[in-house]
Amino acid sequence: MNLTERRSFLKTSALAAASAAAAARAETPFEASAVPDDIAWDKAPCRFCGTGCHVKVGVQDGKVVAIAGHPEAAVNKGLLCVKGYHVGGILYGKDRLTDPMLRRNGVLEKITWEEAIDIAARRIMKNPAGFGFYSSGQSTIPEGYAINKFMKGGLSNNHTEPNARLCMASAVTGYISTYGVDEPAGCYDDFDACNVLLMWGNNMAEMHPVLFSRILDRRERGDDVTIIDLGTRRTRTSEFSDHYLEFRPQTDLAIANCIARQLIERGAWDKEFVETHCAFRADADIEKPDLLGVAISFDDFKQRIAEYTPEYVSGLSGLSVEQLTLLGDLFANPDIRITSTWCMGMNQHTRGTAINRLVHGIHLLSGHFGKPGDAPTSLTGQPSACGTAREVGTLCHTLPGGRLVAKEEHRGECEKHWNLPAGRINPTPGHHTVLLFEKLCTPTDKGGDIDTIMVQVTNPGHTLPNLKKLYQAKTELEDKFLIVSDVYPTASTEIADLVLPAALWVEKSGVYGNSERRTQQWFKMVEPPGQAREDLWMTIAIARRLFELGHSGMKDKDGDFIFRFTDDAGNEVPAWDYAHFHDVNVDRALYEDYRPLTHLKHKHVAPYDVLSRETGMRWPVVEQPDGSWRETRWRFSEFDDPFVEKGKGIEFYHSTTDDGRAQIWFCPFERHPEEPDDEYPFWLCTGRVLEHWHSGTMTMRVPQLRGAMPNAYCEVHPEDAAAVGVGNGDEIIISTRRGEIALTAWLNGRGRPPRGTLFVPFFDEKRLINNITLDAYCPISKEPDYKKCAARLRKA
Amino acid sequence: MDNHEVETYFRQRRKTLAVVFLMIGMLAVSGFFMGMRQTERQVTRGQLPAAEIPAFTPAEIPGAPKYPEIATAEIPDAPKYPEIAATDWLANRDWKFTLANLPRAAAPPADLSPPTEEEAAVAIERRRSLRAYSGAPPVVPHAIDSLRSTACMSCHSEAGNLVIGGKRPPEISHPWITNCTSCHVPADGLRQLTAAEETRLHVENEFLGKASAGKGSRAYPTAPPTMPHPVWMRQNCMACHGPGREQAIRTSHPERRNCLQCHAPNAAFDNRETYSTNPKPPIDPTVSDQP
Amino acid sequence: MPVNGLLVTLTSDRRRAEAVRALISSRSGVALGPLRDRWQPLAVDTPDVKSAHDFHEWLEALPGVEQVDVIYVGFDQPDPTDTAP
Repeated sequence: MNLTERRSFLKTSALAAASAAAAARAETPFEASAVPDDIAWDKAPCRFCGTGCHVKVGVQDGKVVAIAGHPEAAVNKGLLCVKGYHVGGILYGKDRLTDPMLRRNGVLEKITWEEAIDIAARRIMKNPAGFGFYSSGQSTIPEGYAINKFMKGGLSNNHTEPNARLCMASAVTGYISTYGVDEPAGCYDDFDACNVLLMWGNNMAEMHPVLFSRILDRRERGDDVTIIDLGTRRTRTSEFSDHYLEFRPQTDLAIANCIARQLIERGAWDKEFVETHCAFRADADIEKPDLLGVAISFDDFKQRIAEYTPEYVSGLSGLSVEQLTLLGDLFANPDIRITSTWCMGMNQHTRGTAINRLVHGIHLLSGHFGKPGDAPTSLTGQPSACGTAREVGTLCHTLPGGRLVAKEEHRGECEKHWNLPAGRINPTPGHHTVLLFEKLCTPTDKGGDIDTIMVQVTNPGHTLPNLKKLYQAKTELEDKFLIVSDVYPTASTEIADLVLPAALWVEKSGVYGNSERRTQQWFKMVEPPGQAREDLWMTIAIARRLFELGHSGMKDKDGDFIFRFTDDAGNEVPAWDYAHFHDVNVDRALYEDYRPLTHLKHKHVAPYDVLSRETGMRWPVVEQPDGSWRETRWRFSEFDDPFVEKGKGIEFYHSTTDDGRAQIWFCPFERHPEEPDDEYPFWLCTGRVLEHWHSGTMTMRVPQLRGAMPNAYCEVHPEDAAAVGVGNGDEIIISTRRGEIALTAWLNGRGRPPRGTLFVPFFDEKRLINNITLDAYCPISKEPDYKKCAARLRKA
Repeated sequence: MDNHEVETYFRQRRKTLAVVFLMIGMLAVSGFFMGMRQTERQVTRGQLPAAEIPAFTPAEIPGAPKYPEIATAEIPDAPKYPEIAATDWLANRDWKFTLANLPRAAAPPADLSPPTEEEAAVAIERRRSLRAYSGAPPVVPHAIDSLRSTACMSCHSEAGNLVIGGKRPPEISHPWITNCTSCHVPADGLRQLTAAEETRLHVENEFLGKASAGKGSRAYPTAPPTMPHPVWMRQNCMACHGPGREQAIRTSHPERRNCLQCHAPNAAFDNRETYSTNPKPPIDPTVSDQP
Repeated sequence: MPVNGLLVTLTSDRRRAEAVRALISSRSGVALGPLRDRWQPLAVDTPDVKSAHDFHEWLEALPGVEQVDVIYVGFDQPDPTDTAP
């Protein structure tokens, strides 16, 4: 190789290398390696259930374009369920409501916001006592607080209810009658510490999948966890469980009593715990049960519980004696940690308060309480059923911070805090949800004393039981008026007289409270579509219009408007004028106004500005000497709860008997008011599915979720189907005493009911199962039983 | 040329040779990385003509259950059509073993020629169609057992580096999460139970999800590319980049398991909160602007 | 007598890129490889290191050239003892 050859070879090599590099570059043009740095990420709690997962919301060009699980969030640790991953899509359904609309001659016509607010205010002005405000467990804390102040403090009207009445009311009465204060003592950390997870009629794999995965992941890693599904139909949860105990509907009462009886029979109850921290209680008159009942002795308790032997309860419940003994063995074992969870199975129950009390009772009796992993914890279905409906108290008998309208002292505290004249707050509780809508649907001259209802953030036209009676009957009554604020057309807006377009989720700022006492805050990230506006603004604007019309309740003692916001300089900001609504952080102002009210029941919620940097904090949140804020995981336990007196170990400091004791209740097994009979031989159960959230208003607009679950169906046992000559996919008619509905039969489907049971999900607005459900409710919590009524089945 | 001459020649030209060897190495490495960047192109590849799929015999799969040992008496026959309505829906010979009987074979060596633009476009579109946005859990493009997710892993596991019935199932990249169906739902659920469209609620959606960022960037042609996606939920790199996976994104050095040592994650893919649009006020629990 | 392999990143303006490409190719000792998108590979043979640097700087200063990367550097300075042809 001579010099020229070598140089030529070198040059060729150099060119080849450079060409290879050029080819490599061309495969990676600069624009393709673009890093998505124009996506802004911020945190928010998920819009759906009460688990309270934190998501990261990716916003680009004013639109939500991506969602990610928040890895630092203690609740979900980066995981979400399929609904959570697709929560961004709920904002962009094509039929978003974008203009206020008034029904004229049966047709909804666009009007301006000024007209809409004026119409609403004048309806209220005409008959303030006949107005009802129906909100939700999805209302934010500031929204609920504003509703409460407007209604109870402004209009002296207690007809305010949240849809949580249909969902959580029995859990509330269970907690209050047991501990004297609402909300669970344990938290999700129990799932990380328990040896046994006992689910009472709770399909966690579909309804709280992120929490369920938390347990499954532990078992996967080899932790000692036994998962027990106590249910009335085989579900995805049963498939993951170590034990599936299938019982007959309503007999959960007897099963809980049987566990208590075994503890006493074997002498395996925690004598020291019970003697120090508990007392026994029962209803004075089982025909007329009330919240607080009367004290009974231990011997009396023992005597009443005696009949619930495993043999007797086995006959009632369908569980074997061995299965009942298994449950007894677990609670009798002091060396393991047991966490009980429940949701609608126990709450939507004509004896909802009773079964809640009994489950707390067996945990107290056995001493499986107050230690990490030892807790009875109810799970909520809505993101702020706890934070808003329960803690802010938008129920018809409550005031903020666990106060009651019936208590003069509590009313006085609120009147003082709100700077209202003494006596402004009405001492009589308003109508509970079922009654509120019954009164709307009853002619005025026949005692229907409600003529106008304003609905926010919920869909009663879909989710009330026995809809023909409780909702649709309103259309017959000319003088009744329904105002519905929503984001999409729903079964509720279908017959509404005034429809208001609302901002949704990250189109507004908000604060939620999840199932484990965790308060969570987020900021507005994108603009709502069209004329859609915040529900909070609507409440304030209607109140302001009433103020202008001369309603004296809209003024405080000094003659100022009850919703007075000021800027940094102390000047009033006219937040009722939408052009100025965002001049101050109204959310922060209302939340901080509410915060001191939470101290009475030691529910100290965290300051707004602290929450703005956290993925939620569990109350009581107490300031430390170093200025930091500490959350509380286990309430009533000295090792964690700062309000327990030192040396007491456990203290129920809001005891109904004022002696630091929790109540162990005796409640008998009672039959359901509509058990199957010869005419209607099936149990009909309704519920949810993984992909859809409640009435499907949001999730049915997300293609991935609708694609997975496009319509409702009816799960039928193959033998029951065969008996009426029906195969998989055939049309069937289900009828109850209230009507009938056509559905497709699904045999061996996602859930597998035993013979004699039907299951229908309620998300599908084209197949409203609530047209035929029963409106019977728990006498204490007033929560209806959507889980049981008698039905029959035939081929279509 | 004797030995001395050879040594002299190499000594004299060692610089040149060094450069030549360096260049050859560089070409190989950059060729590999060019391959690495051809993301997502072969998702639909790997389908072999049926004739090339070796016949399945259970013995070929180590640890495979020995189905024939189950007493055939336990397995009822499938019901006849007229009997279906009146018959229990039980396991039967005709469907129970379908999966096990599908022909399966180890994944063949991948095609080394880069996919054409059209093939790449088809593959990228198919991947996109299964996701609401980049980072969303993909929907399931086939029917599933609606009750249990135990069956998922029989194809979507590490052992799933097999072509089963002509398809290569993607491997799970987060195997510690076992409740598969809580995030992955069928694209077309219910099937025969889906009611006629006019009787269903059907609303169009205008959500426009974040697109895939495509290829990673590299500082210079032979540098290891950065990761163009978050690590979260994709911690098992080998699920997509391992041996037997798609040629376009398959690693040439599977023996090096500490992937993040060289392939840097990018902060922009960590979904970090920016707080830019919502300046947060300083922490001041004593609030002055109470209403 | 260095031989360099360079990768020139041209402007995305096709017209200007074509013009500057013609200009580069007119220099003696320069061999252009196939243009890939915006990337022009080239090899250049210069009499000494200084002129290689000058050429590099000239390239970088050209309008329409955004970046110049050195991909390959080859020196072939014969060993003084080398007598072989």
